[in-house]
Amino acid sequence: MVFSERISLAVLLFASMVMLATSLLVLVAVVRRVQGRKFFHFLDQLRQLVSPRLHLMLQEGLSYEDGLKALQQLAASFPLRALESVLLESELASRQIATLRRLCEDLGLVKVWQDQLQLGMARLPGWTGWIERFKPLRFVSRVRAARNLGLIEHQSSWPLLVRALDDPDPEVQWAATRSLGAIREPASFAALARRLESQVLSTTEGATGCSARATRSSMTRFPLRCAAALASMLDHKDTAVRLEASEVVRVMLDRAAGASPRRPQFTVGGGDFPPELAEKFLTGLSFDSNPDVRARTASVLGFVAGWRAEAVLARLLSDEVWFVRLHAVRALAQPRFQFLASRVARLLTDSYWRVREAATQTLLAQGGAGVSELMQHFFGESAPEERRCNGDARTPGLPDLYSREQIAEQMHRSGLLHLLAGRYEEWARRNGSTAISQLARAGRGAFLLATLDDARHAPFMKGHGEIAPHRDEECPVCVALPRPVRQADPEKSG
Amino acid sequence: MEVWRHLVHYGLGAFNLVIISYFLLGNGVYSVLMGLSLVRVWIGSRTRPFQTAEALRDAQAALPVTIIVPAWNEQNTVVESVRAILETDYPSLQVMVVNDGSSDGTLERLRAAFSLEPVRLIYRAQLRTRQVEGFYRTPQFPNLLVASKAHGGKADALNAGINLCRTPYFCTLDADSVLEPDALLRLMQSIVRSPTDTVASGGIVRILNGCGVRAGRVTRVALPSKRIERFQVVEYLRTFLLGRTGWDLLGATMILSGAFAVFHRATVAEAGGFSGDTVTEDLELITRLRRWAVENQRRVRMSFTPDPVCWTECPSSARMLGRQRRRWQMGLCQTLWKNRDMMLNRRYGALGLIAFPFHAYVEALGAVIESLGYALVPLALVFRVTPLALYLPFMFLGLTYAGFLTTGAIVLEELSYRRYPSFREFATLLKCAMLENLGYRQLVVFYRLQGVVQFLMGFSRWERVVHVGAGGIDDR
Repeated sequence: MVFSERISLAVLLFASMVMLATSLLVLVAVVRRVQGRKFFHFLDQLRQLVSPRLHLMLQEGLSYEDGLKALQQLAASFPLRALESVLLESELASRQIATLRRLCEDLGLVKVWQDQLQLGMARLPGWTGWIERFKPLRFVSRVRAARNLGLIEHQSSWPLLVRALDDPDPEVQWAATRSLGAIREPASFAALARRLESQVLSTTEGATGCSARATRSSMTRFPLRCAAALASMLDHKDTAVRLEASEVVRVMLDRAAGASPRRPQFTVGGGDFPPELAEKFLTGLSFDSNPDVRARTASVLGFVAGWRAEAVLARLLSDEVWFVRLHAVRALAQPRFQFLASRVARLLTDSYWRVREAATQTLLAQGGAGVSELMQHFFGESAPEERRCNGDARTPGLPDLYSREQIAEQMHRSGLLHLLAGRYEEWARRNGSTAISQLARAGRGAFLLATLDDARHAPFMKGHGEIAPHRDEECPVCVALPRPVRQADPEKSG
Repeated sequence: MEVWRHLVHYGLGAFNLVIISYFLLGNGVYSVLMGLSLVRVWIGSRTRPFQTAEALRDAQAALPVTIIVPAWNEQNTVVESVRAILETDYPSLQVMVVNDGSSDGTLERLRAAFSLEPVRLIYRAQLRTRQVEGFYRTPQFPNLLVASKAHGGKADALNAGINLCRTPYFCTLDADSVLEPDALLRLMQSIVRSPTDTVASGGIVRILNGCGVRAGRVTRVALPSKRIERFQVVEYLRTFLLGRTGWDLLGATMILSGAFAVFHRATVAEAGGFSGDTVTEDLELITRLRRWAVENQRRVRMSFTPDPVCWTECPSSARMLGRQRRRWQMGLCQTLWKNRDMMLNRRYGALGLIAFPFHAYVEALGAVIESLGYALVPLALVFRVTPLALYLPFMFLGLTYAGFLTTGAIVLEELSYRRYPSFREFATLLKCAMLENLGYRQLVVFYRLQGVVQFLMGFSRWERVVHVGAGGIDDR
């Protein structure tokens, strides 16, 4: 055979194989489609049988024993996986989860899941072990098991889930992490803390496995008293570990504050927050060499009652790093810190615009004395060019970088300008025409003119003559940033 | 005369080798990508049922995100799009629409629909942009901000959005795209769960043509009726499910669709933001982020996730298709040329050693090679450089292998997401996979060749693709 003929034959043969492979792919897809259709049809049938009974049981319209008996009869006829899908597909209220949990235990599902999780992690001897290890997608059953145990908040499975944190598959680790956060068994918090520490340290050396963020997220769902387990992490020599631990504490406090009925005045002290932890934040961590840690410390201390926390926060307001000052000033955004309003007001001329913005927001949130300080600063007599921002060693004495405009913007956003418009007469008596001209110079001319349309604000008509000369263009909108100062931005890590 | 004959003979012979190498390299790499993608998509489909919205919506894990929507002359679609975006299922979401100097009623329609009021904001231009003229907010949607600026192009509008963005991440979204409610949750999940800093992450873009749309949401998924649109459906499946998934597994992601992608704000700003010197700013940014990471010795990740879906309209006529493909090709060539030092450069890892040469030879030069092939191979037959008995099997192999790859993508879709539920649609997709290379591919190659020529001639104008409307069929 001539060489070219051989080539032609080889090419034709290869093309035929390609066509065969294509046909096989199509066949696989068709078979999958048919199987899938059958399974979903089957699932629908099961759902029609199970869902009404389950619904009645959860609504307490059917006795538990009768419901269980009926479901046990069905469980004998249907595959476990289908039953599991139907039982766990609805989102339930927390009181209903207890019923579902008991049901899963009595139907034997919990035992199956625990065995799947245990078996998957077991190292079976001999050829069986090797075959099991390389069976494709075996991890899926472990993921499902870990997830299901968390969905029903099965408390006594927590040791198994802690072991699953070391599963070779990251999906299983993730599912176990989430489930531990759902179960919130205090005894498991320490294991998560150890896990977080190792994840943080491995990230600095080389990243693998489930992310630290997922672990952190799970830990923050635990009760506040569990945070005592973070004491050793807060003393760790590695900055990243201290940072993660302080971030967990901060978020836990934030969650607790959010759930508390006395949210604006929420504080911790005494038994609900470990005193040794509070001591660490008050002493060592507030002097930490890493500004990120100091920033988190400020946020934590915002929830700690007592004069010591207030003193540390006041000190952190003068920190050399801008985002530490930012977090410190944000932590003071509660009415109980009104006595520090004058200290906060100094940050209205901070060298960094975000600190100035946060100071304005804090004074507004404090109310009372805070708003008074804000108004005093804004409507003060001294001309803008005489006011200089606080600087640090590198950027001393910057001009008032749109501090006034920034305050006006925050006042506008918070609705305070509307409030002022309604109480204009009072302000006019105290500040005279200064208020109108200051607001107009700060770029609020358009707002003021629009306010004149509202009959409730008729007193503003008296000041109309002062607004007109001030066009908003006098307040430049665009600010070209100065040379970027390379400081780490805590927002980078999210 | 004899000399010329010899020259033509050897020239055609040499070109035959080029064609063969192009075929082997292109299809070889795609075959590897298909194998990798098959495993990943299939495994992903098995774990997807566990990744419920509730699991993804954990507020402490959800990083705040701003969706930046650049809008230029989108008066017909922008209001519905923004309404739908505001209903995106994500706990900490900000929405920013940047009106890029529209000459139609885009801004007016937004103001009327959302009762927007002008506000004064201090605009800090970390990235240089055209002048920003105004800002608008509404108490009804406190997380919505509309900025209006002088026309400067999509890159400029995005940079203005970045300047205004206060969240650690931002998501670029085209004004005429339709996002699935949980798409952002799923896209951010890959960032939240990654142990490495992810600075960019993209989702899959699917064809909206033929689908039912109501109130900015896809209510019914169906194939389009026009053949040219159907061919684009299979093309997108091959590109996204096969190509980008595979490249992501190799750590060589070079393209993320700007229609739907999430970026880390500080990193993008530090790298200089979107650049207006190419017509495909998304591709150029990804390449520049890779360069930035190497130069700053930062270990970062850029990922593609086939799970979160954004629906967008594809061109429904050959003319509009031509505009789109010329722009893409020109943008690719511009970006490759601009970053030509990355070619086979070990510093850039898999991107420099594999993805970049592949895109340069197969995707960029490929248009030239294929076009020349359609012209020269018949000549080779005439001059008997290639015997017919050899040519026909190669042609047959080329057609069958192309069909195999596209079928692989359709089967991947079938095994995983199965967005086209009916068997008839599945059969239609398979038919398109076979017929794609009998006319449609040649048309696209022609447009791509035009794009290469435009690049060589220094064109930089963006050819606007006009869509028929908001999605396909209105399901009212």
